[in-house]
Amino acid sequence: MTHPLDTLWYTRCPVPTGLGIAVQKGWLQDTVGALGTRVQSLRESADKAVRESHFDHSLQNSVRHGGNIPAIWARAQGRETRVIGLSWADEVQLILTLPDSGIKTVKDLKGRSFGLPDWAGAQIDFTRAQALRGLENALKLEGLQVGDVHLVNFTYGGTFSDPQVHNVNGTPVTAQRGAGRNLELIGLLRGEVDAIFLKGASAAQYAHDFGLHTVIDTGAHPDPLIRSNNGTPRTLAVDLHLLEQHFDVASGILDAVLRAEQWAQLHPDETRRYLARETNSSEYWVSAAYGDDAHQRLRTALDEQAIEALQDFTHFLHRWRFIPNSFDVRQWIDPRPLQALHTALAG
Amino acid sequence: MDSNEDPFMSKPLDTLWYTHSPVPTGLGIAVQSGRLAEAFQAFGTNIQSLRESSEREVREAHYDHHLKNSVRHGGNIPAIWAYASGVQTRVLGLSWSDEVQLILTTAESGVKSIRDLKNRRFGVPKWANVQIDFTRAQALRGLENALKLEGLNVSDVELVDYPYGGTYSDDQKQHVYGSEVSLGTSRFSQRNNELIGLLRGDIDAIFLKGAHAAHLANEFGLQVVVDTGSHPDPLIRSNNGTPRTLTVDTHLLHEHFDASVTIVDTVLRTEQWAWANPDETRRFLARELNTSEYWVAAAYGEDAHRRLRTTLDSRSIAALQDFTDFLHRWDFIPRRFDVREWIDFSVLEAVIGSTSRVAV
Repeated sequence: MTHPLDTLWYTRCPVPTGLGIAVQKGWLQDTVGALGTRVQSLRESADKAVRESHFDHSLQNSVRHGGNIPAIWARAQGRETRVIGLSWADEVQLILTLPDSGIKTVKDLKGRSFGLPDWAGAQIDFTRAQALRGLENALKLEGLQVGDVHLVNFTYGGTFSDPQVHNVNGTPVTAQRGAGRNLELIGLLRGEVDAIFLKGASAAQYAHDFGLHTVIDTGAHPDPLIRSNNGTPRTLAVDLHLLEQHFDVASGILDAVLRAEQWAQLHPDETRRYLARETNSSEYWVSAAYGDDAHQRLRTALDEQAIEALQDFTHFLHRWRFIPNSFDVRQWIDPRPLQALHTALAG
Repeated sequence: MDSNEDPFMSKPLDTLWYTHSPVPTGLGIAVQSGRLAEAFQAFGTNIQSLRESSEREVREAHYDHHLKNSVRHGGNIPAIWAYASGVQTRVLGLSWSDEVQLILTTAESGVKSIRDLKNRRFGVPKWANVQIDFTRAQALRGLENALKLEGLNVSDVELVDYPYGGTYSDDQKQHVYGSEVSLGTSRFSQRNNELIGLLRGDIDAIFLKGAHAAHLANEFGLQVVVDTGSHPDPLIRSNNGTPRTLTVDTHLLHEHFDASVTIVDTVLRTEQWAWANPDETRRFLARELNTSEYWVAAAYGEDAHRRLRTTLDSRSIAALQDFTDFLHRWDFIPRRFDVREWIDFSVLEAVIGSTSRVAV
């Protein structure tokens, strides 16, 4: 018997995750609560260093379910974390232009300007990395390269962890930052660049709100490696200390996540509402971005396809110098909690 | 009327056409929750959404109310215009859900207060082909009321028109997960042209209202010069949505009085349900507005569920009259009229009377 863990820190991205639904349903709290452990949301902490652990995974006894870029980066920096599950919820990944730009297809992007976010103060600029991935994968389909377009940076000040997250009626929101949001989109509307990358529910909504032309949705391509990006697959990761000292908590987390995902499969309507709250979007835009079958896209496992895509994407991040070295993602994955649950179910 | 029919019995109503704006209304929730259909099932009456009709002519009745046996709950501008144009309708109820009404500017514009708007460029929509351009009228109302607070007039700012082609009824609507969306738009849609103009720096300020205003202001880091929707004076707050009108055509009222009673009764019961169910109501409103529950609360308040209240109170009537005068002064309607002539109190009285007898 290990001694009970006092506090488990959790965090998830404002995107569809089993952990997000497990938290909203209260199942994470109940499952690890039975082990004598209370849970705390690290992004709602008043301490910026605690909030920053959403990106650098520095906090002991913490779990994170969300975009893989910060998780891969933290691991490449030498952080002792382990992936205990991967989920793959395909979402729209759009390259957008103004209708009068003359850009209709990917080929037309050649020689044109492309706006990219540039968070100079962030430890890992996942917004820039995911936009570059979308762009590179789109261009690759037509035999083009990123070097064939003219990149324009839109610089943001501060870091992603500056504002504290508050839970408002189930919606995680950050206090208003004032100016400095959606700078690439503003640049596109101002005619300063010819194309940008946006993804997820807000991308679908902005494309509609401003009558933008979708050049390509790499999120809908049949090849999973073309679709792979920050959110495909998402990583469910814990720190090694938690895994080694509190294996029961680690497998309890996974148990709550899998139960939430199984519940979602049977409850499309309620799940859509939870996803709308997680993404602070409408249910309609959730369905537009994540599909009418969004509830079926919540499935945490350790599939070969997801592992291969994670490896491919890790190489991409190294090639673009977002991480100092590449690594074998299989050595980062610990299948034991998942195996333990399957054994328990079989037993 | 057929001579062999009992003049006190309404004739059976085959179809009731209904329409509600994508805003908080008791009728909207009554439709979404199935209460309206349920209430009319007993009478063998089909209810049909006129904005979901495949015929543009039928859809346009959301604005001109020309369709016989129809009920509409929504912004008052098209309703006022239709009545002023001679369409025979009656107001059965008024609801007042205060919402944010924002004059927005950018950080770079240098506009900090209403006074700073003087001699600046203000963008307003201009739908050239529509019968009644409610988007332009509500923006002008917000602007005029804001300027009035500092002794300024609309002529003190430079209006810049943002033209839109087509009409509001060109696209057939359908409800997807509770949200009204357009079907099959092949051409590029034109939306938010004033906002784009503001972001491009072509103009200094615009008007936006409701959940989308709150959302877009946040997403683009816009500065709120004033929120006329939160001013203490109800006449400053009065606009297209304050109050909203619940209207029927006079044929329905006169030939199918019981149907009119059923409509008002259903709306009132739905609103009473909402007062006791804030969480579920917020979800209904989010679906109706095609926004998130968070932005519903930001635009309509944490007490949005309690703001659904259809009455015929004197404050709402006075605001409706003041706003009608505004629409006439700006030539949006062909004639001024006394709104009390337009209001029918008998249905609400019948419902409130029967409700108190039933003693729920």
